[in-house]
Amino acid sequence: MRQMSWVPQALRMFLVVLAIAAMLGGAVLAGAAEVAYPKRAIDAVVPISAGGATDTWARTIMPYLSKKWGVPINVVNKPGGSGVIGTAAVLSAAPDGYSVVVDGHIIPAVTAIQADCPFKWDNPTPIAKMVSGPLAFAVPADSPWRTLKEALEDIRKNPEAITAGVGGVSMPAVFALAKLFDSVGIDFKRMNRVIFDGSSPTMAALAGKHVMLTSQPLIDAIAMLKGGKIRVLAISSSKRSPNLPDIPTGKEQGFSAYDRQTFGGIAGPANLPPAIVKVWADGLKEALQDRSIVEKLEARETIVDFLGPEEDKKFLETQYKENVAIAERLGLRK
Amino acid sequence: MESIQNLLLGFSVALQPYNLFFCLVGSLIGTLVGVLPGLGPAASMAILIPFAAGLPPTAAIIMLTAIYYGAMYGGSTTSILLNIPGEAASVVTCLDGYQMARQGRAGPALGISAISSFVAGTIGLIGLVFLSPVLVDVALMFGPPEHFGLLVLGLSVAVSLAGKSLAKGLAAAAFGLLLAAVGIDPQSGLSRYAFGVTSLMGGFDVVVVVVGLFAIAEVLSNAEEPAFEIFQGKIAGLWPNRKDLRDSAAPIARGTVVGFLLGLIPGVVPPVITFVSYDLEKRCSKHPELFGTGRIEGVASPEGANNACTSSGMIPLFTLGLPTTASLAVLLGALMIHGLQPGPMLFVQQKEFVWGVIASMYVGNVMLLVLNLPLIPLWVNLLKIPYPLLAPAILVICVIAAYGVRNSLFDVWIMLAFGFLGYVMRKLEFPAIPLIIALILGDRLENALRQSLTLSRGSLLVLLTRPIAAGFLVIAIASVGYSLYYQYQRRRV
Repeated sequence: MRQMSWVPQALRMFLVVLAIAAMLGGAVLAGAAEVAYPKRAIDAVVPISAGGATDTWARTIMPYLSKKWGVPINVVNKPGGSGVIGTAAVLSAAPDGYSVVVDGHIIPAVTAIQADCPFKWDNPTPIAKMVSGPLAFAVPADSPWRTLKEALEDIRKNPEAITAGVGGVSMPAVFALAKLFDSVGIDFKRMNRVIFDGSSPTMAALAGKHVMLTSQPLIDAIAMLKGGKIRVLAISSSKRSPNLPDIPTGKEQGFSAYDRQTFGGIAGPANLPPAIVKVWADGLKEALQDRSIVEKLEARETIVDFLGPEEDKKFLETQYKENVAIAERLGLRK
Repeated sequence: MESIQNLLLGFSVALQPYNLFFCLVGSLIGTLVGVLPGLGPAASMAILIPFAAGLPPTAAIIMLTAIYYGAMYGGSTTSILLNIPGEAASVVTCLDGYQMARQGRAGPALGISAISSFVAGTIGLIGLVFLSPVLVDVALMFGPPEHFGLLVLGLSVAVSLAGKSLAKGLAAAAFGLLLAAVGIDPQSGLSRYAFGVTSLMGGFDVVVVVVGLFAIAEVLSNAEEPAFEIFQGKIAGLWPNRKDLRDSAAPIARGTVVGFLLGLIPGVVPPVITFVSYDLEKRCSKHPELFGTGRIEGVASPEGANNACTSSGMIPLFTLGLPTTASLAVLLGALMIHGLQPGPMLFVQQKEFVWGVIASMYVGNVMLLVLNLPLIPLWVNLLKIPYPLLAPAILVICVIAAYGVRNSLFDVWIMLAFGFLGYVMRKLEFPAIPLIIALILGDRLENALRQSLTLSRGSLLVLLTRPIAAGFLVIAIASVGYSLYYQYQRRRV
């Protein structure tokens, strides 16, 4: 959509001119460069609509790389189809490093659920995991449950009487809750699961007491929490958030299975040359050490959780396998 | 009285030259974005976030908010002039606005749209200042059954806008519901009617379909007419006359109230709000049969509703971090980037920021009125371009609009296909509006129904035992009944 706005276009022209100048200058000064990448504008596709967590992560981090590399990086939103469309668009592009996808949990989740998904979890070339953030186990403000333990004991007695809100079948909430309930012997399938269209509507339904519990990214829960509409019984990280020292983790209450995170990484089309992967991974590693970027992320309850290409691939594989197991048990895998 | 003190504090912030400047910049960009179809406010706000990140928080949010309401002002321009809705919210403005333009009354249509936007934006802000705390709790009472009731009421509008033949209207609506089912099923995550085509998995975008059905179909049917009769050469006045203003006063007021109230509820998107207000106006009018032929009320009310919901949408955003539209979701992202956490505490801890932004919306509304009114003669003169030259330009704009929605060439083909479909539908006298209403509401309706049934474990009674939901359903049934009775009466005469 950027192509049509005058202001950024003027800016982009300016950047292109700058980039050409920088490249000419660089070539003369440095002689033979290691990899002649990047040479022109890069499309970083965000497969969800503007304003979501993944989108803000991309828009916080990409300007740093754009400046460092001297080429424009266009953050392009291609939403729709639970993230399948934007991801598939990048995977069908040339593996030249000029289109990458900024992915949340999407690739290992949709491929675990949708049999007709046009790609498999291991089709993309993983570049890096960038960030992660905890989920919050939340209940309405007047819920009788004070702790995670109380909640789980009550749910175990009669799972049929419980109504849980989830923000979409392939969202982290489903997997996080399923994993937690599974670890204490509660059958998530017996619970009444109401599926909403993303995190915000789920939180609204929780605050309006239309559902009894949910698990959403912590960042999406804070406003309701501070507004006294909901309570957060546990977060899924290994330690408490410095911004919210009163909220315990699942682990410290004895439920270490509540450990799933929302996360963001970058991937490219299959067969992306290792040299280009390295340029990206090195660049991202540097960007994620920048003080101002880290601060902006932390304000969004997001922590830097960098994994290079190799570790990222292993991480995605673990996620995928866990997701498949959960999806099969819940009868979600079709 | 505290509200007034706070508002004064807000104005002292908003009127600082630095903040005024960014309010103006935002209003200008917003108007531009609204006028250019395809580039919606959400996308342009997102593009500017990195730039805004370098500004002080107050100036940044003032600018982004100005883009949002500025786009609402500008969105009606291409709807009125060329029958191209810049975004889904201005679809309904095409109905009477474009007909007014064809009758040489583009000036009054644009004028009343700007005035209505201004009045509604201003009244909406007063509501925002005084009513916000009370209304948030009401909005939260809307669970799936309540949404379902409201959406059925929205769908019932399709019946009253069906045109001459109710059967053809219902057929068009049914087709719209089918189109809405294409894509990934929000409840199970499986794809429906996509036939393995990845681009179809995202479903049909409303703007893409509407640009085809309205703008392309219009160009095609105009191609049959003598080129110089499409816009009646004589331009009957540049400004709304006294009668126009008198006719519009009550519609603007009603549109404002409808827009403000519905704008508070998360999930009720602006196109639904504008359709509901248009339908209400038609029912209040003494000449409902003239709607769609260039009635100024048909422009005044939805434009007011559109802008009032912009103001009221700020309430759930600031107090609960709950965005009611895609643009507000981007604004939420921008708040977070600046380390501002929405919630009631925001009003206490960041008084100057919150009230500065609210006051700036008032200032911005004045700026937009001053900006937009002088532009009207310029826009109207655009229609003096001979149609054979204007038509290719319209087609180009349509292609850009369709591409811009999701950066996808596939959508351009879809738009062209719907252009031909729209042309055929016109020939066979099938109305396009019920199709569009059904397409907009279809997936939400399905979602709300399935969520309600999950909540009630399969019992349909949940729709009747919850008072708000039942109330909406009763109004919807009464409204359809009245439309049928009215049509029956008219046929007998």
